[in-house]
Amino acid sequence: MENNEAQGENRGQNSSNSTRSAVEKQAFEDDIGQILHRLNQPLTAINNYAQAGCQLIERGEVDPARLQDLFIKIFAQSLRSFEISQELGISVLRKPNGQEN
Amino acid sequence: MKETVESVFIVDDDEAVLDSLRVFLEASGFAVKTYASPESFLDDYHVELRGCVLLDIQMPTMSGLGLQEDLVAIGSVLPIIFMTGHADVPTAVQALKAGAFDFIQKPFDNGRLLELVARAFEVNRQDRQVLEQQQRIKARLQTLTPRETEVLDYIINGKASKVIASELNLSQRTVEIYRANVMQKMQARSVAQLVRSISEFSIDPDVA
Repeated sequence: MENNEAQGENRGQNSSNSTRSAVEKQAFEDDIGQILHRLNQPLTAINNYAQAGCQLIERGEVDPARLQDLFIKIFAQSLRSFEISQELGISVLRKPNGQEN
Repeated sequence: MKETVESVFIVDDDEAVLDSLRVFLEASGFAVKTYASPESFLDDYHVELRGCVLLDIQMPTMSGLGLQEDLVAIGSVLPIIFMTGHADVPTAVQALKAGAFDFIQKPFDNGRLLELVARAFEVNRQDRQVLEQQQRIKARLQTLTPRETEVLDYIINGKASKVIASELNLSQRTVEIYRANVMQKMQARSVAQLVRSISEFSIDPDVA
């Protein structure tokens, strides 16, 4: 009788642990998803600025000041990407227990 | 005078994406206007705008889908190209079902972006032509008197003047006069052309 109760408690405990683990896993995935979304923005901007520079060169519109402005913007966005990727690294290190790599 | 230059209207809450897209599309020869929120685009929107909308699907104050709904509700024919992240693909599919022109994933394949914008401009030109023709026909319909509208209904249902005269209790001569007035006001050279112009654009003469 006592044995059965103990087994029931264990099952309850296991179920509660499993729910908590699923919630933590979902929260972790949401966090990573948000960071990746944010990382996508400066990468998109870098890509666009670089392509714009190529377009200008292809069209023979090589104005050094304009190109320099594009490089400065690319530099700023690459720094932004770097900061977000560091955040991503920290989040991955905080991965909930029991998750596979 | 409202601005009617064919343009790419970019709506994105990320300042760098907005600026870089403007720089890239301008370098590729397009006129561009940028908006940091869907609300600011709606404030600036008017029916004469031509071109296409490049719209971020995920924004904090109002989603891209919300703006799409509002634009459809106010009768906009501007094609919408959605910009999505990898995880937004199911939402983009939903947007396509709601009539979006296409979607493109960030970071872009810029060659594909240019192709999409060029195709969206072409679609917008065609849609505007249809809309303008529809408006011209509606305006002509509004010049008809109630009796002429009644006669028009009979004409487009294929009734001869003799039948119309009998059904409306008028002389055939009077019906001929109404018929001539209808043809002149609708600027139709033949009954076939009249029927085509009305049916092609699904216009109900009674509610135009």
